[in-house]
Formats: sequence, C-alpha cells, structure tokens
Amino acid sequence: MAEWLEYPGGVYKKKEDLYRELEERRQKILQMGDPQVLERRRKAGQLNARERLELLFDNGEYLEIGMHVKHRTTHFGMDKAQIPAEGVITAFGRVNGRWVAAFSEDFSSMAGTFGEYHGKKEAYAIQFAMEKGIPFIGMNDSGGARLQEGMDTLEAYGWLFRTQTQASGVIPQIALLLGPCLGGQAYHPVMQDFVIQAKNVGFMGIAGPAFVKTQIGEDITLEELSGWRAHAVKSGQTHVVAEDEKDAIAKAKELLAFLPSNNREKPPRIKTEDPPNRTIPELDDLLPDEPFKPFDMKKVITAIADDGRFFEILGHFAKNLITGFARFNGRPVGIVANQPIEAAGVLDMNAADKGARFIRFCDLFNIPLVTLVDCPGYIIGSRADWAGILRHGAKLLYAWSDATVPLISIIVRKSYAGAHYGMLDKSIGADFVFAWPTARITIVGADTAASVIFAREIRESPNPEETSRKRIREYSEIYENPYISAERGYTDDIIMPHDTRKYINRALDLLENKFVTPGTCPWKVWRKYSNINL
Amino acid sequence: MAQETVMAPLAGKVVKVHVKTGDVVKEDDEVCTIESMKMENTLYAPVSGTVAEVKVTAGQFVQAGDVIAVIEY
Repeated sequence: MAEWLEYPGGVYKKKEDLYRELEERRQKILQMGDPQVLERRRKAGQLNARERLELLFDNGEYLEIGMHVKHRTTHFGMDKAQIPAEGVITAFGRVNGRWVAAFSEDFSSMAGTFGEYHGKKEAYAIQFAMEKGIPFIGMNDSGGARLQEGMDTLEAYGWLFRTQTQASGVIPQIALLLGPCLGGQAYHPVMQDFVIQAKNVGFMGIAGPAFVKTQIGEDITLEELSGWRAHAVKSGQTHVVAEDEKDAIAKAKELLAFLPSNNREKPPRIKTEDPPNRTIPELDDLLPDEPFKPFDMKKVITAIADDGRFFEILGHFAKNLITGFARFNGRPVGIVANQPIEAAGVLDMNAADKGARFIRFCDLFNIPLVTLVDCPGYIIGSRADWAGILRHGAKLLYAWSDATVPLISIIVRKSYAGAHYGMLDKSIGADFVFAWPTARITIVGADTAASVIFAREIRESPNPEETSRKRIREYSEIYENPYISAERGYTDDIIMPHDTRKYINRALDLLENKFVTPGTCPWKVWRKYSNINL
Repeated sequence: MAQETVMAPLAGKVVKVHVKTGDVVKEDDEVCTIESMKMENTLYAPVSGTVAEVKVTAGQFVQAGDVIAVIEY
C-alpha cells in the first residue's frame, strides 16, 4: 500500500500510487482463491471459473462487474476472510455475436459458497439481463450455503429465486452444472429454462449424501444420488447431458443459437443450403405396413429438418415423447413427437410434463412448434389414474390451448382419443394439420370401438369371434384413415411422406406474421394467466 | 456391483424374452418384447453388464413398473 501524504485539510495519495493500488487489488482478485484448490482442479483437468467464462464468450472477452464486492460478516473470523469476487464472477460478453449475461461460481474462493453478497451478485446479473433483454447463463460450482452468514444468506436465496422467476419468460435462462449445487440452492438451476449437466463433475440435489445419511439413514454415493443419471434419466430435471465442462459450454452455445435474446424478438434465422422443398423419398418406405410394428420417429425428424440436425431436450427422460429444436429453412422450430419404439409412444405422466413445459417455453420465446404424431392415447389403468394422468395430461391441453406461436401438426400414423388433442389438432389450436396416407385419425382403435358398439351382437352371436372380426374390420375400414378427418376439414390435406418438409416450410412461411395478442383470451377479457394443472 | 432393472413401461403381455440369466449384454441390447397398447414394445438393456435375473416368461401379463430383468454391472 502506498504512502499517505499530508496536507493541511487531511491526507492524500499520489495518482500513480492510486493507480498501482487498483492494479494490485485487481490482480489479487483475478488470481482467484486458494492456490491449492486451483492446482488440484487443474491437475484433475478441470477449468477454473474464469477459464469457463473465456470459453463461453467470443474471443474469450468479457466485461466483468462487481469484482470488488465483499461480504460484511464478522462472526467466526469472517472479518479476516479473503473471498475474491465473493466467490462468483459476474460477466457480460458476446456468444456467437450476441450479448449474454453470465455468472461463474469460483470453487477456489471459499468453496464458491453462497453468502449474502454472493447471492446479490447473482440476482443482480439476472435482473440486469432481464432489463436489457439478453439471455442469462449460470455456471454452478458451489459448496452450498455460507452458514457463517446465517439469516443473511437465507434471505439472498429468496432474492435470487424471485428475480429469476420475474425474468422467466422475458429472457432465456440456462443453468450449467459444472460442480456441486446441493441443498435449496439447487432450486436455482431447476427454475431456469434448461439445465445442462457435465458428467463426473456436475451434481445437483435437494441434499447431498452426508445430509441424507444423517437425517434419514440412506447410504448412497454422490454420483448415484446427484449425478447425471439421477437427473437426466430419473428425475427429468437435466435437459442436456455433457461429457465434460467444455462440452457443457459448447452445448449451451449451440442451444442459445436456437433462441431469441428475449421474448420481444423472433428466434434468429440463419442461412441454409438445404432446399426448403427438398423431397425425401426414403420417408415413403419408413413405416412398417403392420400398424402394431414400431418405427423410430427420430428418423423422420432428421430426415425433414435442415441438414438432418436435431438438438434434443430431455433425451434420456420419458423417451416415449421426443422434444427438441431443429431448423426449417433456417428458422428455429420446436419439435414435439411421439416415439413408437418407446412404450408404444403412449402419453404418460412424465411425457405430458416434459411436453407441456417445452411447448410453453417455445410459446414464450416465439418459436413455432411442429408435432409428429403416432400415439395410441394417454396411458390407462389404475396405476396411471392414481398417479394423476388426467392432471398431468391436462398440462398438454393447457399448453396447446394457450399457445400463440405457429402450430403445425403432422399426423404420421395413430391419432386416437385424448392424444389427438394432446399432440395438437385443429380443435385445440393447430394452424395446419397435415396427415400421411398411413394416418388413423379417430376416437379409438377399431377393436375397442367394435367391442363396445357391438357388445351385445357379439355376445349373442353363434360365432362371437367371427362377428367380432367382421365388426372390427368394418369399423376400421370406415374410421381408421385420414379421410373422415379431411372430409370434415379437421385435417387440411393428406400429403405423401416425401413432401413433409416442403409442407412444413410452406406453412411456416405463411405463418410468419401470425400474431395473437398475448395475455388475453379470445374474448379480450383481462386475466393474469390460465390455471394450468400443475 | 451396481444393479439396474429393466422395467415394463406399460401393462401388457410378454411376447418374447431375448435374454437368460448369466447372459452378458451390452447397453441397448434387446431384453424383452411386450405387446401393449396394440404395439410391440421392445425393452433394451439400460447398461452393459450381466443378466442377474429374469423375472418373466413369454405369455405372461405384466403391469407397468414390474421388473422384467435385473442387470449387474
């Protein structure tokens, strides 16, 4: 520290000393926290908090704010504690040319623990991003709550949760799990739009293994309790799994490219060499002739999307419903598709939750939606009913009914019963419905229908099996096709599979200026929001 | 050794069991085919490992969530 000079009214330092003092303070903060932690992590091949930001932002350049922020706790020796940048770096920079706000928790600075001012920095970054209309990315790597600060830490969590909720639907928010994020703090990533979890290093959970062991006696490893399988496969809270930290950051950039910076913009359209009217002959051969044989719906998605590219969301969870982003003629589009090779493509509780939140995200950020339908219906049985399939399934109906973005439905095969609306049809809000000649659009499968309508006739028949077969065939011939729906105008056209991409692109062109006043029902009566079944 | 189970995603009838106890399986190998919701559903190994137990036989009805097989890895 430089020498104080005296003058009659007080003391001062020379300019050059003041400048040097700034440089010294800055260097100390930029070196981050505990050198041993930094070294240990470097040896383990991990990036430090600043290297992660450099990787995220174009040319590794970012504008940092709040580097001098400091906690104000004095208990338990905290008055002597040096915590560079309060254990979290807040920064703004460009990602693929567009501004993004981010924070990166620094595990070397008092284990990246979350104290009052740590939390304040995070909440401020989100608040700033919301007001300026730029996406937010949080890089989580923290030892949890800074217990030395007591009530002050507790309060800061509330600021963070409230701020991110207020920003929800205004700017895209993406969480990266690049270290531990355990305890109530884990609500922070979960309440964002997307969670990307790095294998081996990223952990999330309401409580870690030690707490679980002492409180409820459960013996479980951190990896099993809070690792990527726990959330990508079991809980459905990790949307994207990354091989490591670098991959997590790369995937965040890839995801951002599909999204607008805020809810006032359209998603960024890019140039593509893939012809919008490209025909796809192989789609004509994809479906098996037998309606009970499954096929891989992802083959349809990659066949019709620009350059065959598909960015899947929640790919390991509720695989019977596929969600993700693709581009059509350069436009980002959200895809919601049944997957017949997984649980018959049935809509169950998890699939409904997964689909509904994805649809609502796309609607909030002006991303058109395309469905690819081959669904036998919502799941039935006591197990499903008692698990609340009606309540969960209703989320899809709410999401479609409330959606204001362009909505296009391609009915590939089965579109039965409640799933007809659950997968988007005209009555629930589709702008266009196109069906393949293989489509079977009706209230229920022929065998079920025949067994109800002709129950008595079959029962009293001298040859019940023969009567049943005849009636099933009759019902099937009349109803299990796309033409009745087209005759009523519920299906706009029957198209050959090879023309699917062409029709989707035409529809998207036509719907480019679709506008529905948000926040109103069709009767223009003010309301806060619809009461979706949660 | 950790265990993963292969569970029936839906209630239905077991059409074919593709593995037996002691078989070495790779992730995504076919384990069992169930007929349900008018569709043939094939269940795959969630991990690479050894089949520790097969709990069903062809022709049997299973409920959603029933354990079909246990794989040790």
